[in-house]
Amino acid sequence: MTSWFTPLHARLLQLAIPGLEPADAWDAAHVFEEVRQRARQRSLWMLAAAWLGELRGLAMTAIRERRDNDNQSGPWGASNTGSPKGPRRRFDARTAVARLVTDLWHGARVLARAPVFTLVAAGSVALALTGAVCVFAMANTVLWRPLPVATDPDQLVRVFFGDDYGVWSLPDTKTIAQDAGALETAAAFSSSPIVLALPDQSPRRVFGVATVPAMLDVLGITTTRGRFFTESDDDAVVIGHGFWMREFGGSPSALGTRLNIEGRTLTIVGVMPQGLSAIDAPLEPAVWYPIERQMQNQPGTRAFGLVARLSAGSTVEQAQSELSAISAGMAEESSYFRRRDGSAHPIHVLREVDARVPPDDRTSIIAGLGGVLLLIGLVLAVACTNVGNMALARVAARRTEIAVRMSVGATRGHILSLVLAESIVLALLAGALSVVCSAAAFRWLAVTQLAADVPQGLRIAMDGRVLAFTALAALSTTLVFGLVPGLHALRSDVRADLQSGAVTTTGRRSRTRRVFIVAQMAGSAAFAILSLLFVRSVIAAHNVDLGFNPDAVAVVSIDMGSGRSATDVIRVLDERLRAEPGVADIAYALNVPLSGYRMAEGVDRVGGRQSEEPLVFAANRVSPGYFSVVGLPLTAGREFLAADGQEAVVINETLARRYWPNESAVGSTVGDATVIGIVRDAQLETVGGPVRPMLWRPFGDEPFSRVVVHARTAGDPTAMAAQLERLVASIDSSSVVEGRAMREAMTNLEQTPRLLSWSFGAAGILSTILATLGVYGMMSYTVGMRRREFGVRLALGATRDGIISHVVGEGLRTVAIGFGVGVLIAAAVATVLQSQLVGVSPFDPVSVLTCGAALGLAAVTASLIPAWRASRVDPVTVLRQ
Amino acid sequence: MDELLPLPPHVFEILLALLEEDLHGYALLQAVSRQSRGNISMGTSTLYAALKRLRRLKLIDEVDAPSHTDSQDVRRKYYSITTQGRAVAKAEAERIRRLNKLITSSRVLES
Repeated sequence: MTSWFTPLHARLLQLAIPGLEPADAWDAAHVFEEVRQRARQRSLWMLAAAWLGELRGLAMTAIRERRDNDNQSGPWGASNTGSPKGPRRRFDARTAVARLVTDLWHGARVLARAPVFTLVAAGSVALALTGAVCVFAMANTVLWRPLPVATDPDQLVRVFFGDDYGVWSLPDTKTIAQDAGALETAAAFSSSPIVLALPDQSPRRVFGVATVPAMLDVLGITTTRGRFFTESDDDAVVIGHGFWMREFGGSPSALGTRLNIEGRTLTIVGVMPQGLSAIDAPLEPAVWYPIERQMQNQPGTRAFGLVARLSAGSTVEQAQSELSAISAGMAEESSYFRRRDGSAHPIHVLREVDARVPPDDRTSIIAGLGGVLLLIGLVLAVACTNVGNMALARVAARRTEIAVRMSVGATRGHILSLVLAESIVLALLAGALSVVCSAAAFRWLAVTQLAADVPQGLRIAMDGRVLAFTALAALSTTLVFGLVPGLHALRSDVRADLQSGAVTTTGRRSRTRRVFIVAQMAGSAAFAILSLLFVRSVIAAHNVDLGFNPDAVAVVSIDMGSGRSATDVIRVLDERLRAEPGVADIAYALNVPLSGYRMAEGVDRVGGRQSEEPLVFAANRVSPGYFSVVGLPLTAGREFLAADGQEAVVINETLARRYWPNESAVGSTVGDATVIGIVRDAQLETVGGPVRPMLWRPFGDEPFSRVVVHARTAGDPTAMAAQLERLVASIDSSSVVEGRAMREAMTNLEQTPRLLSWSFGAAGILSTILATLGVYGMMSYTVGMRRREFGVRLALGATRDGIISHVVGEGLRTVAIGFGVGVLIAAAVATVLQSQLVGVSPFDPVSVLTCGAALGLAAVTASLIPAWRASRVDPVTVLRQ
Repeated sequence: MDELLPLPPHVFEILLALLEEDLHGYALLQAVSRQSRGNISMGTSTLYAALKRLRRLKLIDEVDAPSHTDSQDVRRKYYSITTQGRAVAKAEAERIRRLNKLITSSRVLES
């Protein structure tokens, strides 16, 4: 019956009461356990009161016992010897709340008096918090939040086929829906990015769900406008609420509009409710449309997920056992349902919430998210040191006030809550700011197309769980940083502080501040160095030798949505493209190097030797003339010719070296194809990383969803790209067409480092400003404390310049320590991110030195004013005080 | 003994409770709450800090569980008041009685 809290409680009691025997602490902890049990039997309120009372008692006892030990005042401690507070009052919730409100109000007023600093501090905390909230909200949406359906989201299950949680063919899903009594209804669906065209508009990429009419019943929803499609509808489509708002302004006239999806012309018959995401992605689909009729009777095509609603009273376990029986039956009928050893493929039934990520990956996904949260937490901590610093400075400035309060009867608890109130107000402010910022971020994500090939409508919801997380994160971080100054305030010596001279040394307090400043400087230095590293990486990327020549090449990607033969597309376009003025040469490929698109191909034998396991090589499909257009030189053999088919392959030097180290690879085989040429190794997948073995094949008849035109030009590639984009769009009206200079399309080369340098740069600038303010605050505080010392020094013959350099040197020393720590952090992070750095070492001395100089300058500037003030001290005035 | 007076209210209440019978921690909490009519409610930390001091001053002592208790209570620590403890409680009571007389003769509670 001992609860988890009891051992902890015993330990806390021992900490609170010095000299308490362990056995007595255990006894006391058990007494509280009994108190809790009795309280719980009476009401939850009593239980809460018991907990609150106990925790409050612990804190107060800790404070009292410590003080008694310090003062050695009488057998009962200081609590009863002339303490002005009189007999202990009973805990009165109403008074406590009233006092809390007063304190918070007071805290808010104090903060309002320094609006700039408050905004900067709250803003920096809010910025880091927003990051944390966004990550948490994403995790929440993906892992925990039920689908926003009207009835019983708990009853929704997903049904998977086979060991690797696979998809179904349509006839199978029908069998399951009919035979399983534990499932009320079931619906097959397939969600994917598709190409959609509205009348008189160019086609675009959207997210769509192909499904069956039963989907509406499974989700337990009704359409907001119109109706869902039925079994007899072949050409009806229902649009998502967001799409309706964006494209039709929420107008009812949208119903009846005809639109084109993947070559089918469909009529809008209804609008889905707001905020409904797809079943297997946190994206709001633009359209829900019927599965094509000819797909419906193909048993072989496994392409559909299955979502079902449990019938009333059924459990997941019942459905699971029922479906296992059905699976066994199916295995007897068709080999399709048998494993190689003859046993039936298993069927998995998972609650919808549990099915969103593969069950085997769940732990690692949560761990990964935890890691990201931890990183953001570190940034948050840097931001919070400012809050701590500020509160510390305020406590220092208010020592006299606090002493007066204590001498007229304020309890230690009251002083603590007074100091903490400021932190709480700041936390509330930062929390509110971050909620607003992340809500704006989610709204932005919902309507923004992040990249040409990612459909818009990412749906991240702000719900109670996210708000609770925000509140908890904001309060706990700021409270932790507010507690340090709070405890400092309690340690003040009333009598000394009341003597207004206040020349008492406060070594501890300024040491804490110094630690804060060092931590903050370390953070800013790390951010600044990282930012510089990536800026230099972006610059270096322009000059790095890639091994091919992307300059003067324009690329136009043609996104065809459904798979079409690239050869057909090329045949239609080629003549017109070559005839364009300014085009020197034209070639086609499936992917642009360094664009983030990658293709890999498995081969089972190389050079005629059978391999144990499939060999996987990077791959691309290219047209004749490709290598000369992108400037990839051949070291042996020849380019593709129009006559080459799938029996020809071109490989890179790495692949050739690996399998034919001592002979020429030309003429040998890779898979079934003969090597006709070898291409020089080039940075096609990553910059600076090792070159992987790679192969190129000509386009065949296999369908692809996109093809990219590569055009070499004598003029400006960006203008050429725009020119060709217009031309292609005018010829092929059903595809999404996008033209860019080739360098622009190579996003891996510049975009990622640029994004990283921007984010590190923003964090670096922000934290450097904060840290500079911190240094200024610390220096003016210490200078204020040491006026008398400077007076004495001056009286004894120190020069004013000497004092200035002494104070500035002190500021520089603190910053130097922080900078040193920051360099180490930056080096560690840069080593991890090395693959994103182009042509710059993670230990780049230029970045480190530049950043060091900048921070040093900031530190000097920040200490100069306090130093000047110290040198202006009038010895006579000071010494007379 | 005089240097111990006045006793803090909760300490006095603990001694008063132990005058009646030997008690364990939880029973002490209840007894104090009962006899002070809810005016003094302690957390366990306050109680055990006081018990620690009382024991160091030899005003109370730790004893075996009384024979009539059920098995669950055996592992608990029971406390009993010492002769010295009784004397201190008596002195405190007399101090308060003197105060009471003073209060009655003064007019502080009138009007």
